[in-house]
Amino acid sequence: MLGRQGAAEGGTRTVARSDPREEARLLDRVAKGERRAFEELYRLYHPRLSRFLVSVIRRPHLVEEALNDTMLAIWSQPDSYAGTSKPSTWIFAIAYRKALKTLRGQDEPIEDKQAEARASGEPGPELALGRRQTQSALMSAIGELSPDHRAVVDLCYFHEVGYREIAEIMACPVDTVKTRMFHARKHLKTKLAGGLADWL
Amino acid sequence: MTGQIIPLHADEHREAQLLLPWYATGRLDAADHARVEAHLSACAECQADLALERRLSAAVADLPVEAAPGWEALKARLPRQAAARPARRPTAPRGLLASLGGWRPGAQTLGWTAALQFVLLLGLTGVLLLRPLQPAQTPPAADRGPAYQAPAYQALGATPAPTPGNLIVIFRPDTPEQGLRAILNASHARLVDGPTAADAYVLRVAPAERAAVLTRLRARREVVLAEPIDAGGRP
Repeated sequence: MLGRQGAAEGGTRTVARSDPREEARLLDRVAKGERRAFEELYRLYHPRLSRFLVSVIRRPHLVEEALNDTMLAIWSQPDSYAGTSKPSTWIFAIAYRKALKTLRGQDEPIEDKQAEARASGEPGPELALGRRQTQSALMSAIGELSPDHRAVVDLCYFHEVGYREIAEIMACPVDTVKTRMFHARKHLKTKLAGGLADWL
Repeated sequence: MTGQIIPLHADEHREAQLLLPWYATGRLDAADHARVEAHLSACAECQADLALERRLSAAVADLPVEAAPGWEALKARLPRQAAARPARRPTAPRGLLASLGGWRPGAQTLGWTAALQFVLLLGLTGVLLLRPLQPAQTPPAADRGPAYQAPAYQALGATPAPTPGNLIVIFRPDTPEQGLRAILNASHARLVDGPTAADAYVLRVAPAERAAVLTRLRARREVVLAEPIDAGGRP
């Protein structure tokens, strides 16, 4: 899978490719109880999982706990990786479940039944915004999405995961992934209006 | 009627719209890619949307995200925690890698540990509320009356705090240190004492702001209890 490593810390868009076969070998070593392999896996995934969990949970102080819970689940049950999917798909699926568990603990609704209606809601600023203002408006608009929609947006745009893999991670039909993404980006585009004109 | 579904233009347009984000990020398989490309060549609306899609995906990918502290930060904090609070609480759930030497906690174990901590906390909170709380600045020994009881909490430093606390807070046991700090900062509160045996913290805020700070603290999920205290008074 692709991942824009480094963006979690500074926002740079360095795309790093990790080899699924290497990761599978690493998981093999973790399954044998190799602590060094586990630390290697932790360091490999920390930036990606941090970014993903921050996007979904949106409470930085809860992210570390969800991340550690994810890693502990990998350490304590490495045999639950059946090898039928990429290691990253399996790991992100665990992280997604931990994020939902964290949000349930905060009484935050996971689904957004109003997403479709809200996507066509009031338009955002029509004047072209400065880059920083656009980022601020974008973060605010993403914050209005449900955790499910935020997860799809982050997995697609930042981690560059295909829709079938996202469906595996989120344990939902592929059509649900496509629809969530459709409504999420419609909402973001509506909110940002002219702000994206000069991006890229 | 053969049962064969003939794709309509509208269906192709809708499907292309649904697949555009993955077309823009290059994550479509060959069949989907060809399908979207064929539609794009004849649909001005989708071409415009694709340009917007590329800008949006770039903007989202460029967003700075405040990441939680990594393993190094966690590891650096552990020795100080251990020295300051020996045998107070198991370090396993927080000290992830450090605790893996011979122990692999299951999710159930961690859950029971947290539950036990919470029950103990509730019990200790009851004890704390039922007895008078001593102010952070204790009177000199000569001034202590016969009814004087030792403080329910231990100061971290040997020097008494220069100003007494005026409210007491108990956080949920799973509140990370980072979250605790954020709450203190947001409340403009100074830590006067704590954690006590009941994991309570004595804070000092501007007297004029105390009522407002208490209201804000009580509204937070991380806060189990927030009560005003005055020297010689009860929480």
